[in-house]
Amino acid sequence: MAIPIITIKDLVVEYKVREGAIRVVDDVSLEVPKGRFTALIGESGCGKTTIVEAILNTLPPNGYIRKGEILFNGKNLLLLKEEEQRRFRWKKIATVFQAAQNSLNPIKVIGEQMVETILDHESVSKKEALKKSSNLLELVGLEPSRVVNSYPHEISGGMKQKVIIATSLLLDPEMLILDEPTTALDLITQFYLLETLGKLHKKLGITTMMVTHDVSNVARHADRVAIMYAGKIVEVGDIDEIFYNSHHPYTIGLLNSIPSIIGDLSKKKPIPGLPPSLLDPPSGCRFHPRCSYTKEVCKNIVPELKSIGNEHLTACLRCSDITTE
Amino acid sequence: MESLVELRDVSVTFKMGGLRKRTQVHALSDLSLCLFEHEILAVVGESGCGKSTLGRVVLGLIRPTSGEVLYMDENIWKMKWKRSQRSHSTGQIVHQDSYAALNPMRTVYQTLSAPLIHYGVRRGKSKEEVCNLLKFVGVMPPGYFLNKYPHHLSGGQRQRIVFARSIIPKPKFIVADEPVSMIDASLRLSILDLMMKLNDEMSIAFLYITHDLATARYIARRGRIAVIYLGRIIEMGKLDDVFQRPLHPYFQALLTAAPIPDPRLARKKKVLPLKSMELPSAENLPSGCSFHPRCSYAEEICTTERPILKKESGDHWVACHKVGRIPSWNHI
Ligand SMILES: Nc1ncnc2c1ncn2[C@@H]1O[C@H](COP(=O)(O)OP(=O)(O)OP(=O)(O)O)[C@@H](O)[C@H]1O
Ligand SMILES: Nc1ncnc2c1ncn2[C@@H]1O[C@H](COP(=O)(O)OP(=O)(O)OP(=O)(O)O)[C@@H](O)[C@H]1O
Ligand SMILES: [Mg+2]
Ligand SMILES: [Mg+2]
Repeated sequence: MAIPIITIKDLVVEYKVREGAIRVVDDVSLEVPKGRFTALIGESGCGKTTIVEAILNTLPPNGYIRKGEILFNGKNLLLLKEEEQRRFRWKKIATVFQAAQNSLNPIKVIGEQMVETILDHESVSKKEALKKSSNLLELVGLEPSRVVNSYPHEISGGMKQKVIIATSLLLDPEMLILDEPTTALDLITQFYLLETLGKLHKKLGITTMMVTHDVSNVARHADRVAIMYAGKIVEVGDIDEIFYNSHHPYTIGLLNSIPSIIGDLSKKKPIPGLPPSLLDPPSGCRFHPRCSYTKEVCKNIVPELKSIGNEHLTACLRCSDITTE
Repeated sequence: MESLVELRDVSVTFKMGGLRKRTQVHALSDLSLCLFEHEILAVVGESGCGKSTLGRVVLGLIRPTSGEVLYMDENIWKMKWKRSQRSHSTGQIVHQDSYAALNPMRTVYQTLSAPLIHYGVRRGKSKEEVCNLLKFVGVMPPGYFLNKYPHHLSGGQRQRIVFARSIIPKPKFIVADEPVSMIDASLRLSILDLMMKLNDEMSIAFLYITHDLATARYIARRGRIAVIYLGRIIEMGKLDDVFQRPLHPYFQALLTAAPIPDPRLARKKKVLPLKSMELPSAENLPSGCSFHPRCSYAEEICTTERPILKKESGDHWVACHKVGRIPSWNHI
């Protein structure tokens, strides 16, 4: 197994709300291997963005880490001082959020914005900074000569999202985290954007982590997948293991519920029921009320994420009885 | 099959801008289409291609700039009906944003009982009827949800309530404009299943508008599909035929670009037959075939002459000069 760039250990994140505290990330442990493309997948509200925010130390004011460790290259991020953390965030981990297009400054041309970002953090000449910006724009498949002198409103949404990705790479980060980077983009634009990410990952060897609720978005480029359900990671493995050899009923149900442009539709069916409220999650395995394999134990015991070989981990008490077929 | 709604050479042009710089947006151009009784017709295309405008024309909410809209063979813009009558008892609309569609101050019971009573259910029976309706659309247990407000419900539950309300007038068809695009991928299927149930058990025809080919294929598997590019239908036919043998280079490109939730298939080499990813503006449409600036196969004729929608086989229609002379598309 590749060395982890990020290691999350027993992480618990809560939000203070009127009703008390909701535990949105509950005892999550996860390794993000260096140099690979990891996808974090789960339904809306399961806690994906919260994990990303915990890594970046950008939780909203009512959110806090109750317990756990987050290591980056072996260094515990949670022990760094505020100032150090900020530097870390900029230099080591770059992020692209959903609808990040709107984060571009509307009154400055793209080239100027990119050059400023470099000059704010590095002591290089303006010319060098511009050169670097152009190279990165080219790398993400844009025409630098055209884009550098454009204002954000003069380019399309897909181009803006690519500019954001190029910008995020300006300070040579070791890792790129993308949270739903393609929502609100057209099919063709989305395709090119994902191709760009796949290419960047291959060419630069940059560790990539993409968060999404739709497995279709990552099937082509990801090589490792973590599946999250109601605040917990329920299965982790290499992508083919997860898709073709899953041992978790939620993963299997999820994959079965996604329509496709090819293949047999008659086997597709929704997962019965609804995701639980995190204010009052079910006892034992959180998936038990929706699971067709549920036995009495599932209601009482919280399943741990355990290795089943092949760098494949699953959190199901009945995993040995469960297969994709 | 009887035609419910027929569009004949419909064009819709929006006028934009102020006094000095006036422009026209050609949202739909010479578009002809039938929605038949009891069918499911999927309409797909990129953002801004005119899908929602088409839905609004079908519902009689927009008067076309030119062309005719017929309901059961009668031109609706010449009928003496009241508009409300026309749109409610015949067609209904369901949008993507279920939150905006529901009054936040009203409970589920209030939202559904008012139209039930309006359509003739006795007050004393309204609670029972609301419960039946909730059961029918899969909001269970009904008793628990009667007094809930929209913000207490999940997106999927809200969309079910919107569908429940839309079937009260017993419409002949529903225009569903991106009804699942704000719903989690894992919950989309159950809402699509609900629409198929309404189609099946209540004989409601659906015009399903989406940019997502996978959900279009799922819901219209026994129905038809129309592919729109910049306000025109470029390919249309039985969904199965069109997916089996896509003929228009634009639809082939869309299919290639569509993400596939199966890594082994998804990883196959993919090349889009496109010269550019940019959609031209609807204010300044290209000459000839409006797809030619992006098309890898375009020839001289494509830049000057507009291809018409022609029948290729059975019920499969295509608007392309080079149809049959471009490589056939394989499902990898
Ligand atoms: N600031 C906050 N205060 C209280 N609860 C919050 C806050 N932010 C998020 N939550 C709740 O925490 C849970 C997890 O939220 P999170 O944004 O991490 O989910 P997600 O998996 O990223 O979902 P999505 O796919 O919708 O982006 C949700 O139930 C959400 O309602
Ligand atoms: N009321 C209006 N006034 C001016 N232009 C309009 C109006 N409604 C739509 N348009 C324009 O008409 C074209 C078609 O719009 P329409 O909303 O039908 O597209 P769509 O296919 O539904 O797009 P999307 O997938 O983004 O919903 C677009 O260029 C749009 O900007
Ligand atoms: Mg999120
Ligand atoms: Mg629309």
